[in-house]
Amino acid sequence: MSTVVLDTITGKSTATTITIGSTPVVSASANSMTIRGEGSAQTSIQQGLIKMWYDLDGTGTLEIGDSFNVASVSDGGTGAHTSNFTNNTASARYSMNMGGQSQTDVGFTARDASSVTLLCRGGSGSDAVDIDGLFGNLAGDLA
Amino acid sequence: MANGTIAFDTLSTSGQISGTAKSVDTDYLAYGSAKVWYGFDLHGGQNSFEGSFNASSGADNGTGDATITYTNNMDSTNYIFASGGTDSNLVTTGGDATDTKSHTASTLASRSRTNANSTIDSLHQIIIMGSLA
Repeated sequence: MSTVVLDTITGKSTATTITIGSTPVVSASANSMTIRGEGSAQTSIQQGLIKMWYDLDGTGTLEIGDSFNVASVSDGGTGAHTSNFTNNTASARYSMNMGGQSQTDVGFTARDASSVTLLCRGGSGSDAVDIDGLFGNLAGDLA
Repeated sequence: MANGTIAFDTLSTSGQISGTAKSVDTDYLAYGSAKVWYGFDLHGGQNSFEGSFNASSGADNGTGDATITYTNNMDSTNYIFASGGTDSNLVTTGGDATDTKSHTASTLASRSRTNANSTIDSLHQIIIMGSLA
């Protein structure tokens, strides 16, 4: 495989318009790369990427099944755990989405730029429960 | 090869986290990116975005109910969404026999409830995956 070493790729016809495969890169500036989506609208790659995700087994010893950008997790008691990020977010104002096994309700109890604490409760009840198969993902801005 | 064109199927880069090579089919950039995400806070009458991407406005439609309008629309209603929120306040989307919450190509309505199934104003955290128009 050959290697191309360079500092800048510039579109020939339009400086900021480059096509990768069948995906037009229509803008590349200010740390933001914008591509054309499935139709004609444009979307930001950086904004659309998931910045952290994980799957946990909360039964017994807390265990990560698989993850991205998670440095460690700590057990906060029944149903509760804190995930610490490898690379922090810009603030606590991100969108954290979570779920788990059927008939459970997962929400966050604390969050900041370096960690988020989730608590899992039994569906229509209020008792905290440990489950195998609790997942979360984070969309937002990295620091 | 025509002037101004470099053709390839896979874009490869050196991994920044594990140090191993990473590659991705370029189609995954479009199909695999979230098209909308936001945290819209109804608590205390704030009715405002904490943070968002591709969301142009949000409306308070009564206790626990919010409707968000996208900047760039989805290509249909065949997209998926995941939700989250604060402890004990479950955020739900989609309609059912007794709940008229629903979504269109340009909007998503969501509702937050307590564990006791009562509507409550809280933080609606949503991420949407699917195809843009």
